[in-house]
Amino acid sequence: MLLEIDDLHVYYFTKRGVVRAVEGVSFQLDRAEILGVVGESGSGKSTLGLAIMNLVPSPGRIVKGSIKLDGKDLTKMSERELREIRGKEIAMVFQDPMTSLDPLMRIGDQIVETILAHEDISKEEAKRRALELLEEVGISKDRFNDYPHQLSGGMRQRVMIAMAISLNPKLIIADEPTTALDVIVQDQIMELFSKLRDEFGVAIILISHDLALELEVSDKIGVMYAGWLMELSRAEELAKKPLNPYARELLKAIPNVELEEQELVSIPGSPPDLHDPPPGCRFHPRCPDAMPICTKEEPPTKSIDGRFVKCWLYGG
Amino acid sequence: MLLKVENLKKYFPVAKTFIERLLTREERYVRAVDGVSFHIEEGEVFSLVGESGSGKTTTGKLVLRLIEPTSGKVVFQGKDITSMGKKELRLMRRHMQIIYQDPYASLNPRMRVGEAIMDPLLIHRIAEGRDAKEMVLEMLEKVGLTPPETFFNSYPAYLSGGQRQRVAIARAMITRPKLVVADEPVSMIDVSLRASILDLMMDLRKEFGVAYLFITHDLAVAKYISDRIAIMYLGKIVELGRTKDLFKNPLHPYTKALLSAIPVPTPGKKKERLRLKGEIPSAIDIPPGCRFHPRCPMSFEPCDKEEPSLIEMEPGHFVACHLHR
Amino acid sequence: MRTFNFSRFLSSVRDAGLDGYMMVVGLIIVLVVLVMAVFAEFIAPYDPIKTVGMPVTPPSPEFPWGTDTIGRDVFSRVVYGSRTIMIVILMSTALSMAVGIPLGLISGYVGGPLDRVLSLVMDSIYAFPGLILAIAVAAMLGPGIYNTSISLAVVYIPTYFRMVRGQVLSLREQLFVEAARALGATDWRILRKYIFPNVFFIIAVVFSLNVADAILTEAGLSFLGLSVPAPTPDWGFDLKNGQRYFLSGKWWPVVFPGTMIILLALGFGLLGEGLNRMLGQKEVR
Repeated sequence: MLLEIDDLHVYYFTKRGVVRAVEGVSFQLDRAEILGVVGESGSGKSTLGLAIMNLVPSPGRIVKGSIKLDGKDLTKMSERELREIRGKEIAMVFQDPMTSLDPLMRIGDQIVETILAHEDISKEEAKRRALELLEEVGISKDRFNDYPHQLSGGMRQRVMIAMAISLNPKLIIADEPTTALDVIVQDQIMELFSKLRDEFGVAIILISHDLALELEVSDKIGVMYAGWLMELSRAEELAKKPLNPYARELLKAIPNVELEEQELVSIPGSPPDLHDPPPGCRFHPRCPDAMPICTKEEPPTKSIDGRFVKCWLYGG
Repeated sequence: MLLKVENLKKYFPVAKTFIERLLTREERYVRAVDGVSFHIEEGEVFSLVGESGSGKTTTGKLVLRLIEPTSGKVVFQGKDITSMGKKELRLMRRHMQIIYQDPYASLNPRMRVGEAIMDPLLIHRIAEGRDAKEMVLEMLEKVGLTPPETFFNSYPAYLSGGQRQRVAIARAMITRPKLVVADEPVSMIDVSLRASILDLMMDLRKEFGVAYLFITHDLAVAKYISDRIAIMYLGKIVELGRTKDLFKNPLHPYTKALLSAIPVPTPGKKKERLRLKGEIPSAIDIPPGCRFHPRCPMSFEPCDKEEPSLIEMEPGHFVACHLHR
Repeated sequence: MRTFNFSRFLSSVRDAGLDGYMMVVGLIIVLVVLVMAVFAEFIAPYDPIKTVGMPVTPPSPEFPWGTDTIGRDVFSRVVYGSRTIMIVILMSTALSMAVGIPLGLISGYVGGPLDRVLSLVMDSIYAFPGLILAIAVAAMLGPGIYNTSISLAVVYIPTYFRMVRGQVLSLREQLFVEAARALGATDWRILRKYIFPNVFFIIAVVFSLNVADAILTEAGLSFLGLSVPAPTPDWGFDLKNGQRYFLSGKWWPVVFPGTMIILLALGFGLLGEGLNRMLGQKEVR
């Protein structure tokens, strides 16, 4: 098993109080697997992604739990050891490539720099690799000397992905990589992710608010709400029969182009303030299936046919 | 016909560098909107769908003349908006409103919710004092912000994104306009809350008989609410028709590509993709002939030379493509 | 206008930590001097322009801060002097704001040639070192409390102009301003209800820092004798008079007025800076 997250808790210690951004999240990810982490604002999905790389900004930090990459616990490593791993074994792709790319450096050089920072090879060798990578991600080689502003949003994101895979990482964490891009480019990038999984055996954690997108691309999907992992299932299973009520309602809220008529559903209320979450189940104020116990006690996570669900509907 | 848009164009001049200014005389333009024509009936939901850079937002603003058109005409309720005087235009605004995409930026942070919604009533002398306040409270109820008195006195900073968007909707609707331009009104709202905002907009339409010019990049959302849809690409409408017709029988290759690329929440995905080559070119250097041809998998002889015009293929269903003559 | 909630104010001061305390210290200093100015008749033991003792006598129970070069009570002169400086400062600041702010609003909003001309004029004035400019204007106008206020006002009009104009330029492009235009609001209404309220806070902050600077400039003017005429109690003037006795060990005619100048400038400075940082925190959130 490539990645094992066990009972992860990430809190932000702000002046106004403690924000329990991620609470009790556990899951596993194997090589050549794409895990889609889906959630809305305040779900904790981005914090989760940052936590895996131990990049949670202050005043946040990992309070409890373990993150094991190939058996090694990342939460127990020193900053120096983590720096070795970041980029090389785990790479991250963010939403806005414009802020992640150096506007004053040519894109080809940026890829080369990334490679040279971690590997002891010659500059020519690095350049050769960079050109190969550009081709891999579908950017024509004669763009090597372009500056970021000369490229479109989709191409910049592909440069980010090229940089991410330049060191042959085992895991890529992509946080809303296509949100700012148009649907056609988004589709191309998802194709690229699938290719990375199939041809290079890379594991990918795809963080997004777009459940439809996740369903198309991911092998497994984790649905997060207010810091909790409400359900973790294989994509087909989730789409066919979601277990957790939040996941179920979320599915009903997505407009489907292929349906003739559709009753779009909205979940009443809004996500809770994580400074002061509701007692019991955090979703209970908005849950159509809420029972008395949901208002008092936190639901346990149950395993059903290899799926995980956090909900009182499935017993205690 | 409530609104008629004729051959609307908006070109933005591209700032030249110093050297360029010395060496060349020619001006370069971003042809954001390059000859757009359509009409909207009373009480209709008309969607303008396109990716970023298609010119849809600019078109929306041109229709309200929040930006001056480079050329073309906009006729609203029989009056020519484009040649109207400033004062008359300002008074017309009572009948044509806008809801913006960003609920955080479109409200004045120093104005309470009640004040913000009341302002249009005061501006257009529809009501004042207690009468105006009554109308605002009623509106707050209608958009689901209850208890209305509490929201009336709140500052936007204390409201969530969804609530702020409801305030924006209330503010736009309070003068009972006949046309509301909605520019991506739900794209910055959480998915689980979108339906409620869209449903609210549809309820208000039923109650007030308002028509929407709905601008979005999300075809799925457009399908959910629209009566008619126009697909825009690089400043021009490439296909236009009734929602049902468009989805049952998409004609333009771009429409088909969009449809095939939209993620669909059903398992066992892998549908047939209509693959496009390359990326959207910049609106400064528009390809000759049909502006879509460099990416079109079906381009042939005339496509790089002649620009196709919108032709009616079936009643109410138009397409601009040489494949369909 | 926002209503002022005192308890909310107190808690935000506490939240701001060091910055909040800075602001409070400054506020206290300013209030003390203000009280001094308003209640001078009750605080000062003697008439400040009458000779009441031997010249340059050291501090004693009779004259707590000693007497000055002509035998006037230093303490009383300082107390009444606070009134002088407060009047000059507040008048000149009011004038600067009354001219600078509206011009900044209009210039920033309207733009075009008007803006270019006004900016040019204001920048030119701004480029002059404050004291030099004040001296030039004061020399032209002559002494007197009103003339001094005008001289100071001229120096600081560009400050308010530039700051307001800058804010207006950025606010003009904000979405909610376009939204107001879309509602059908007139330009005047937009300036009044949408732009000005957002400029307001900035003005409050710059105001304090500005006053701190103005105090020192006024002191400079009065030191040079270009401010209010004798025998009106004036800190800068007294400072200058007491100067020649300083080296012979008679420190009290200089130290007390001098300290007050610094203290008041510091008070406004802390108030302004503290407020700036406190508000800065809020905006960041």
